[in-house]
Amino acid sequence: MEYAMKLEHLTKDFGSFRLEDVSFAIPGGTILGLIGENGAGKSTAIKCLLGILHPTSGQVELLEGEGLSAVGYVPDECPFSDQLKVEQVGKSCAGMFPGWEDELFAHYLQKFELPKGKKVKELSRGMKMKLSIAVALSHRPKLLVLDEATSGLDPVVRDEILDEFLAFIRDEDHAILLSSHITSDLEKICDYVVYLHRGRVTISGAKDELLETYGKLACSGADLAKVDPSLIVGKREGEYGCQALIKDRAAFRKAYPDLPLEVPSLEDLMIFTTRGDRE
Amino acid sequence: MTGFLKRDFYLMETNLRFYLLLIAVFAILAVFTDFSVAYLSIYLVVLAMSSVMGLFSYDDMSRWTAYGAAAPAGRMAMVDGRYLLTLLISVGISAFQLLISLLEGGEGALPIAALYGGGFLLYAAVTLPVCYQFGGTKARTVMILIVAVTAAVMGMGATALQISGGFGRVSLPAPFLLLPLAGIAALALSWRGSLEIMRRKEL
Repeated sequence: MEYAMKLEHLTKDFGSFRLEDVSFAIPGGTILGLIGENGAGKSTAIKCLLGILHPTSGQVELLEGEGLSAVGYVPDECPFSDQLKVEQVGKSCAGMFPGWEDELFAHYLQKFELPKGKKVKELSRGMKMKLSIAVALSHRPKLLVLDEATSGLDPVVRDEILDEFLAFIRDEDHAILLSSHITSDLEKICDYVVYLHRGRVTISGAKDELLETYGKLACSGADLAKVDPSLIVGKREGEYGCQALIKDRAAFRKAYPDLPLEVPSLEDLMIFTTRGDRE
Repeated sequence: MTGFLKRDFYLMETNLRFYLLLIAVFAILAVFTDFSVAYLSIYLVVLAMSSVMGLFSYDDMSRWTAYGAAAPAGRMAMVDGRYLLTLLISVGISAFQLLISLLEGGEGALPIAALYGGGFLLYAAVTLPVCYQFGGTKARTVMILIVAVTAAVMGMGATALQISGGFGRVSLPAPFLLLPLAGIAALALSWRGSLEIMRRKEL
């Protein structure tokens, strides 16, 4: 499988907000992180991908035509009613997803320490998220789509869940689309990154390449004033010094060999791009 | 579809204890007082009506509709499951009323059972598309109005029959036997409408 998922020129117009010409693809065996500030359009893109929203224009291709039957979806909030017991969630979902395996669901319940007799309302947020992931994995999906699945969870649970994603991706036929504004999580596990800003793809590419292409400059105001503005994505000027995100590290080093550049984080890319856009 | 149907059953099951308690209280009242057990059927119809609506509220609270739509054939299967549940509830209401009528030895048991079951189907045929269009919360206002009018009509009818001494033993004309058929026809049209609403709806 070359691509687990392809979005081509996806546009969704709500009037007050517009997701504009979004295109990206996830190669098999990889994890793509969709980052962006709140309201940037991450959930809208995912909902269009899954048919929850109807795109205004553009095309979606899932698993080379296999469609939703091999997609495991984990939304940001637990979708199972508080009144249901964990085992009832399993029995209901067994009738919804082709390829559902009761044994596999039981395995994940055990692994995530989820008591099957407990009601959903008795579960913590972390446990609810684990239940959603257990359901998503129990019908053996090839593509896992997670919308802010790790937000609001403590670092221990987040780490546990990220490990599960890494185990899932060992199969070359599997892929993950993970949206989050917790960029540290994505930095740990993603192969590709798409940064959505105000409904548009602002940065897109292989994570390692992006982090090598961009650079973070920390210098004085006087030094920053000397830098060619076309190389600066965004900047932060303070009383004691300045920081800036540089878009072409090689060109910058050639032009300003005395100014120090650090490797930026995904969070730096997000913050400075947003600042640059405001300026 | 079976998954969606099961979920609805499990959610309704949570109210089952209350329904059983209600049946027990009415049964005791009927045995030890001159209270007519026919009131129980009316209450059960009203409870069934509010239970079906309650499912849409559960959907809204957990954002289930959007999640269900992301399942293969999710949108259509969701609608199919809920309409099948409605049909099954209507059969249950009719069977219960038939049992009550037979226990009371009243004549015309079948038309009364048909009235309750068919009436419920007609009610559902109107309200289900409203719920699909507006969601459980917004549709509540419309539903409350419908339930209030239905309950008022049934209550007035029951009072009139009680005054005349015919409550629980009234004989309805044979055409009432056709009410379930009218209900099923209305429900079929309603089902088509709900499918169309869900097909187009942004979730």
